[in-house]
Amino acid sequence: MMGRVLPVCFSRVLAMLLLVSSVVLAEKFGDITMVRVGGELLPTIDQGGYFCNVNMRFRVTNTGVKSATLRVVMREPDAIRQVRLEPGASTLLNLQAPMTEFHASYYYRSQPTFSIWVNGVNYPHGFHFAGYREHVKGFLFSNSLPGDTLKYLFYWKLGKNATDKSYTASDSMENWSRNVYDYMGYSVIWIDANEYVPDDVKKVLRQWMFDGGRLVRCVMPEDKWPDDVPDKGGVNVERFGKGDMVTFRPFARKQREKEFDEFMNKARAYETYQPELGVDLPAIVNRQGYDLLSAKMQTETELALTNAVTLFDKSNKKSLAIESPKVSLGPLMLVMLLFAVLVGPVNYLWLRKRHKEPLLLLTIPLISLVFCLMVVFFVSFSFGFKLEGEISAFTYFDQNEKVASSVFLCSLMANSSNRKELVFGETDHLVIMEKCSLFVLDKAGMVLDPSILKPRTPLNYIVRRCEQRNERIRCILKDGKAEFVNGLPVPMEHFIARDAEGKAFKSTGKIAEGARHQMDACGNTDVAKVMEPNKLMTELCEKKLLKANMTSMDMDLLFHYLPKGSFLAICSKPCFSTPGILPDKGRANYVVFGPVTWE
Amino acid sequence: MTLDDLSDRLNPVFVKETRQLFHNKTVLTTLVLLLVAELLMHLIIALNYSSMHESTLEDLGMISFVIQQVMVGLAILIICIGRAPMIFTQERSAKELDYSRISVISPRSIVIGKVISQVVVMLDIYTIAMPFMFIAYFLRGVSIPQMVGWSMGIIPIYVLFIQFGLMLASFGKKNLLGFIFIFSYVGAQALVPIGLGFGSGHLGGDVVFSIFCYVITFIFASTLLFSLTVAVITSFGNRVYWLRLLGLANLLLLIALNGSLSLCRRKISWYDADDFLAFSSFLILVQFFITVIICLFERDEPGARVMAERPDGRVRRFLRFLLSSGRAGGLAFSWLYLLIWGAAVLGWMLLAPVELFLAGDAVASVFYIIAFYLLFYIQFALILVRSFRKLKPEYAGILVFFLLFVIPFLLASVMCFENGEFGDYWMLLVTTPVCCARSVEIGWLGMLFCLVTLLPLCKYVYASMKRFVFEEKEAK
Repeated sequence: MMGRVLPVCFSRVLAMLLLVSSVVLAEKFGDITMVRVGGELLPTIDQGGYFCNVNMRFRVTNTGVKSATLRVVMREPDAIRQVRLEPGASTLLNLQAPMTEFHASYYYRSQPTFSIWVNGVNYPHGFHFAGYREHVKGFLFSNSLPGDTLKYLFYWKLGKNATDKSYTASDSMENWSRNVYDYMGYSVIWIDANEYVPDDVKKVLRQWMFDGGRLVRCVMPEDKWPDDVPDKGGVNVERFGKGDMVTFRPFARKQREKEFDEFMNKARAYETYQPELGVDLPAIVNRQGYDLLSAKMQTETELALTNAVTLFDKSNKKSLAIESPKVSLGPLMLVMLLFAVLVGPVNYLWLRKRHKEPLLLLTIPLISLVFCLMVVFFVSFSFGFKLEGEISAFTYFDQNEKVASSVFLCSLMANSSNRKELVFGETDHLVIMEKCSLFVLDKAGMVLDPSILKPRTPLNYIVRRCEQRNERIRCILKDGKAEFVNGLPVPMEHFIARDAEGKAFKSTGKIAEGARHQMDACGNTDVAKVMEPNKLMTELCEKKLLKANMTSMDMDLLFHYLPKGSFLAICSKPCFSTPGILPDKGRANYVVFGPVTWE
Repeated sequence: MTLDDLSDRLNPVFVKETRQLFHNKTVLTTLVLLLVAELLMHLIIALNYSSMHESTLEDLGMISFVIQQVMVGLAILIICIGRAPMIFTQERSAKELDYSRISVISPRSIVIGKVISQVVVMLDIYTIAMPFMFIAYFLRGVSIPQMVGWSMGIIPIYVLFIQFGLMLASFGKKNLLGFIFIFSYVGAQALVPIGLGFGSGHLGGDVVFSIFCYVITFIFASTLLFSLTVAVITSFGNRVYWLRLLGLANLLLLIALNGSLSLCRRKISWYDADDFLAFSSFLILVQFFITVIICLFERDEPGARVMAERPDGRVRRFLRFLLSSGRAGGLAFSWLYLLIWGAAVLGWMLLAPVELFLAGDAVASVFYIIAFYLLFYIQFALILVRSFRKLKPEYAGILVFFLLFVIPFLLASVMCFENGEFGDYWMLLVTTPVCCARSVEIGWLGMLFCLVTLLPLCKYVYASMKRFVFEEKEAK
């Protein structure tokens, strides 16, 4: 017996070892080869909550002769990703899940589980993370700092509490990690202000600060105060996103008691700072896609998004978000009163008269079922079953740089259960608003489960998208007559433009895609000086000018924001992709604005 | 077919219970009060609806639904969980009212009739509130899947509490009723989040997997409570027969489920082999715990009635010996149970596909080791009971538990528990399954202790088995 069991056990152990080694490198599922090229569980500290951020990256290749569909489903936290691969094709599959909150615990359990489906067949696999991971809360010290720096830490405590651990880097800053994820979890990093920091390390430290980190640069007593930092009595604080960089000259508390107290007050003032809605949060996570596009456009969309979030905030919510219709409770109350009387006294007395009280066990569910159906019909037919939407999109389209940056303000409401998935592209950046609070989600190329749209509860979200586009709107000035060609892939409802000298032209009526249309000259001389898409979008939203049935008066108002050599088009269909989902009914306005060169 | 014809075909206890139910003023008053409370709540909502803040409106449906659940829960508590066990206790405490004594209805039929009648009434109470719940859905903040998930989560818990109440009532001791009443409501409300967790998929990863585990748990707990109640109310005959049979069936079913699901795992996306192995091992351990505990309280030898009802044939008699009343049979059954379980664990370790060879088997091994320790304690207690005839089994059990578990654990905790680990004096813990925390291999000492304590009992078990299997029946 033992002679048979032992070889089997050994073969199992060997197989296990082989499995473990293959898990790390690559796995093959049918014709699909999947290699894990990166992946992190990212703990972050955010306003007292404890989060886990998951980001998995795989290189997937179709080695077969037929095209294959790969679907990767991650659970806890949830994320779904589906790609279709032609024979020989290879792509990078990024599986990201939004931050999952783990309240009231310093330790969290996060074991994302994956299921992998190729052409509808589920394949077993060995991709998995370790079970528990400590929520790192600590300080990191550069090893060039003198050993007694720690005592300053206790005298001038920039961290949250004394239980935070401190770590000293094993290597000089020159060799520090170039991966920002390696710094996640540290709340404060202490370095010597005069220490050499390579540019790429600087870059990742800035990213880390952007996400809430605090970099403390210590100027040693014998060293000179850095030239690039203003000296405000031994301390200076610079903001970066949600975090900051503190430059300071350490001192011992006993020697300079008063200065210490002042310093502490300053530090406390910074500690109470609350980042505005956390819109800067995904700066690290989804930066890569945006780096491909111009820095200018990036700034524009960042600003536009910030404004959009503000517009969608509590105070302006009513003007932009769908209001859930209220149920007429009066008639329903009468129906319910009738139900109570029927199911109770009438039912009981009627059966009692016939000495058949046990039949109550049948009559009660029957009457109840009838009334349930009545309630459902009553309310459902009052509101219908469609998916309603209110979408306002604003696109800044720079034809010269061939970049379109859009901000979609979406408000959706499903009157019954929603069955459509919300699909977002690689360059989408998603912000979801719920109950006046805001969630920033990076769902690049993700599919959101239909259940995110709860019945009869509006879902408000903002999608930012920045992508390269080749469409071209042509404005032609010939013999004093102005014409334009609709180069957008959708019909336009209205079009206005200014030439290089500031003359205003407008065209009304529907303009089909690709059509050439004549424009009428207008006497509007109120020319905007600078092209500010961000400001324009804010104004359009606040003055409720984003509407399909615009009058000529409304259009005249828009001229006010048009600088020389620019255009503004209003469409009723999405021009640059859709914001995740198309509603069955509702209102949608797409404003395209940008510079145009006159021919 | 008339109503009377139908009632003749149904379980007599069920018919009697339902007939009595709607003549009872408490029941009728509770139902009327429930309807009035529902109407009042919606009237209050209707009056304040237009002036409510948007943020309140977003949650109004959920608030209304939760309040309705509490009201329905109260009605179920009063009618099904409170009243029914109270009546059953009165019946059991008065011999002239006890069905198991005054009628030929089998204990199983009595329990089935009692439980089903209360479950039907509970569902009726739920249906009364259903139209109001639909309004909650349209008030926003709660979706149909959430409501269904909640209801599906809590209804089985109510069923289990009804069964639990009836089981306690079957002892016929009125002083247990207050305990039932308080524990049921507090317990049911406390267990709702667990039900909800299963319903919404927050426990165990996949929603389908959670629901699957929940259904298995419900079936397991429900059948266990049923067989325990039957065992208690069986006055004459084989008390633990059904309990052990069920234990064996559950064990085989869970092993078969583990095996067959592992084989089909490629086609079942929701199946998590690791978690299910750990989960089913836990259920098997619970079942084993009850089996060995009962073994301590059984009579030394099977009764005359059991002996007289022995089947013919030695194999059948041996099987009956394992399942019938009597400590020796119980002990032999526990060992058989452990052997089958052990074979399954070993089979899993050796035959499971490589990709399933993860952490689940380690958890299964730990549960298996705990089972050995349990048997070790019970065998030790039996040795004491057999050595000191005046020592009652319950006292022997408590004594052993203190001597071999509580005292070593406290000593080890005081002397060497530091930084979440037991340090140098961990050897103090070898008589407890806690030593598995140090190393699973050390835990296998439990098996050794178990074998050592079996030795003095072997002779007794063998003699009892010989008598049961080989001794001829007395002539009537």
